Amino acid sequence: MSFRDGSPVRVEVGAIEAALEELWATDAQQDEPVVRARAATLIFCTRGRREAGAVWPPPPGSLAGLQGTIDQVMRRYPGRVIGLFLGEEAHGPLEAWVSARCHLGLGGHVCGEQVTVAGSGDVTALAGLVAALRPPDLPTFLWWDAPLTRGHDLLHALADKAHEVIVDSGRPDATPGALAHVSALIRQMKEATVSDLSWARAAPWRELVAQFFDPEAATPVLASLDAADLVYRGATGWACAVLLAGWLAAQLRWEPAGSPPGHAPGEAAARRADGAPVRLQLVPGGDGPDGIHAVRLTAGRDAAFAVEFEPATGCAALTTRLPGRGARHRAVSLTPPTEGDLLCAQLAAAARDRIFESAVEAARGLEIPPPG
Amino acid sequence: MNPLREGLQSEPLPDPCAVVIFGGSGDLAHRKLIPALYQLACRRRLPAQFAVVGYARTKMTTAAFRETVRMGLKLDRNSPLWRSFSEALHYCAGPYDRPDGFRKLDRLLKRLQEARGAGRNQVFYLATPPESAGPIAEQVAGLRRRAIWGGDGWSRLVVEKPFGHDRASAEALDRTLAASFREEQIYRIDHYLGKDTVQNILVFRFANGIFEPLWNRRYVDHVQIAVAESLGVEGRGAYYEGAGALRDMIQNHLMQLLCLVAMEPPVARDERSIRNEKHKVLQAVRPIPRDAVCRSAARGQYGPGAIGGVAVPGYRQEERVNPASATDTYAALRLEIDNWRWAGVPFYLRSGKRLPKRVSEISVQFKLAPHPLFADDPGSDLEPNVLALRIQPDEGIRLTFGAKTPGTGTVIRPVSMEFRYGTAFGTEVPEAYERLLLDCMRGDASLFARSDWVAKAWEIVTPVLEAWQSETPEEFPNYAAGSWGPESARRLIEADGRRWRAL
Repeated sequence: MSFRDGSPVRVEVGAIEAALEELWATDAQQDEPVVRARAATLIFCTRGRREAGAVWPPPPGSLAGLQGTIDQVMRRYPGRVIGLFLGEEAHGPLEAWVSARCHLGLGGHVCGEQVTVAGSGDVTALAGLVAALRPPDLPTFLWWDAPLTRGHDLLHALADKAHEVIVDSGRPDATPGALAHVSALIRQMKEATVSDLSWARAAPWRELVAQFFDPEAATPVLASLDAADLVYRGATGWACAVLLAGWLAAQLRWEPAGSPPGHAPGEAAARRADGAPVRLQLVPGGDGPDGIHAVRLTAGRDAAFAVEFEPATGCAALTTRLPGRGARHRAVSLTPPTEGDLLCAQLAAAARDRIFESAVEAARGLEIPPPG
Repeated sequence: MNPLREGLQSEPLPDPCAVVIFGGSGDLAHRKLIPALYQLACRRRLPAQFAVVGYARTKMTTAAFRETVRMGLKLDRNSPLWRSFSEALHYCAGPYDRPDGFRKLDRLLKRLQEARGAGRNQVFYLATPPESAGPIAEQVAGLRRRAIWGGDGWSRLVVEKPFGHDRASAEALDRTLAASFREEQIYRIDHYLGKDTVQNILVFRFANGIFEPLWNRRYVDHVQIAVAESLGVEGRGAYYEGAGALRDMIQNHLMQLLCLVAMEPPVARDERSIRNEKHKVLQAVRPIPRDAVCRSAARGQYGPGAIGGVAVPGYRQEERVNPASATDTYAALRLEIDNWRWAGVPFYLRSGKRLPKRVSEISVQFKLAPHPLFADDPGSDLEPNVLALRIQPDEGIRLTFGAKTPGTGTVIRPVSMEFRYGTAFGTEVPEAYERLLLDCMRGDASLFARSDWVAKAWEIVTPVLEAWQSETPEEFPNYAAGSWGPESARRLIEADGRRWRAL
């Protein structure tokens, strides 16, 4: 068994770099050399993630889903991953492991490395440890895989010198107030950009909705939209739907008209630029995975646009109806992205997204009542 | 402007349009063009108002055409993606040179406009033999003028290489096309330009500050551009007999690569600025006088040999090839660019069939250090630095430099620093035709050749073509399939004290 096989090796917390160098040096004596590649650094901090049968803190690799996500990102962006698995106690011993993360690329094995630190520790100690382990001169991404309601000190400390902070307002354990925390984070971060995996989940939906209005004949209909129905499933779907509603409001300059008493969860009212009312409705529904299942827009009786996800086929059915024309249909591929796909998309984008920030603020302004 | 488009990473969709593929029953349509369009449709890159019309002389129904496409794409007929795409596919049989077929086409486009909103804007793709280009262009122009349903909208004509047979025929083709289309409507496709790795040449040169100061005659010794194929003519002997390596590869693909390597930074990223700079490179290429062809060019033809351990016949034994053929399956050129940046730096271009492996590469070889500090150290291997841009396969960039080997002495060996697309980004490189078709539909001609560039490229190779045509190559075949080409090519570069890179 050699280091490149990926098995975690327990090391002293204070001697992680030295241990890594020694392990690689030993591995280098193998007949077949590997390519140690570094394109980016990913720091992830996870707290509260549970997988069936897992103990906490989990030994490296025991959270197969999470490790699969990390490995997917490493294949696109090989480098060093620093993972913090935080326990619940205020202080406790830290344990560390290192492992090679190799995949078979052109010309042989392409390897990054993963440093896993598990346990509890004060913010200063953890942040200092990460700062020492972070390679210089490479973009650093911090993935906060934990609820946004706690641990902000650590998040801010880890975000120092990070290029981007990635959160997820659509985590299965997210509270309805998660978007407010995202908004606060955007304001607080001085240098790092903030991105939200829920926004990345919404990207293909935004693209498909935008496409409806690319043709010259359809663009003017945007000003006449008077209803938007978003069908979602689960907390992940809710967060995505809220951001989509905020995106429509921000880009189309809809002003919130408040949610009067008696409005059901998911309902909100807005006003178009011309003062006419717009009805927004987020409706639970759909079979299959959590996420968005349909977006339906109407402009009076004459124009309608719909994207309907079909989980069984991984396709979306698109329907356009414009005044004086029959309905047009087409199907496109719409495979729900994996967590790794979403992270890779964020690493690829890596720039401040003002459209996202506008959507967050507009979504908060709509004050859409969450489901009970 | 669609406000929902703001901030999206994907480009806007092209206008609703119909892509009419002349040669719609042929190999290019089914192997490259229609699969590229299918991928674009699946990946949400095409508008709902979109149609593909295959037009050819072969009689076929639309249903049969769709079924042929489906089988070629190996799709389940019940797949929703296939069902959606197939509704956009149509077929029209007719001649290329008579109006009756084009009247049928016109009626079909009208129906497509009514049914799908896809007939008004048109891309006419000439996937046909070169001699059909002129007649088709005339008929298409007539169709547009007569459009029975009064269709307006834009139309674009995509022409595949070769653009003519020589300078005179290229200019004649241009005049024929110009009689029916404006230059900005004509898209001369060179699929090499659609490759991510070729586009990366401009990014590499002009998005990084460290290489451009070295990219000139002070530091560069010479540049080699190689496009090697291991395949033979693969049943296209009839076409290749009239083409040869110089026409088929060097006049277009390699000249494009030469321009990307040698051009000045454009003032902007628009198509006009980029194409202007590429044209300036060709304008600066020193003409090859007729009596200098033997010193500036080498040709070859493969004989029997072996590729990958498997015996293969020689070119003259290939199907539909003249047993006494004088066609070059290998060509090499030595060019000089007379401008401030490149004066005195030779550019060596080579391309051939039935070489040991398929590889396309640009290598920039730098001059040795001016003062050889380590020349006397025993065992030191002082090689010049080489920057190699690998176009295919194994796409990437490699920089070779000398490093001291561990130990008490100073022994220097070459080492490589390498970026590989597949390793660094871990994603598949998109198909070139997808990019080019989408750009044409969107009206972006940056990656297409302009008429003046084509004319200039012909002007450069014409003396070589004329010299070769006037002299029978008694030595053909002069390299074995599976070898790296003829001796004459080796002598061409070694006369300058240099040698071909091992690929």
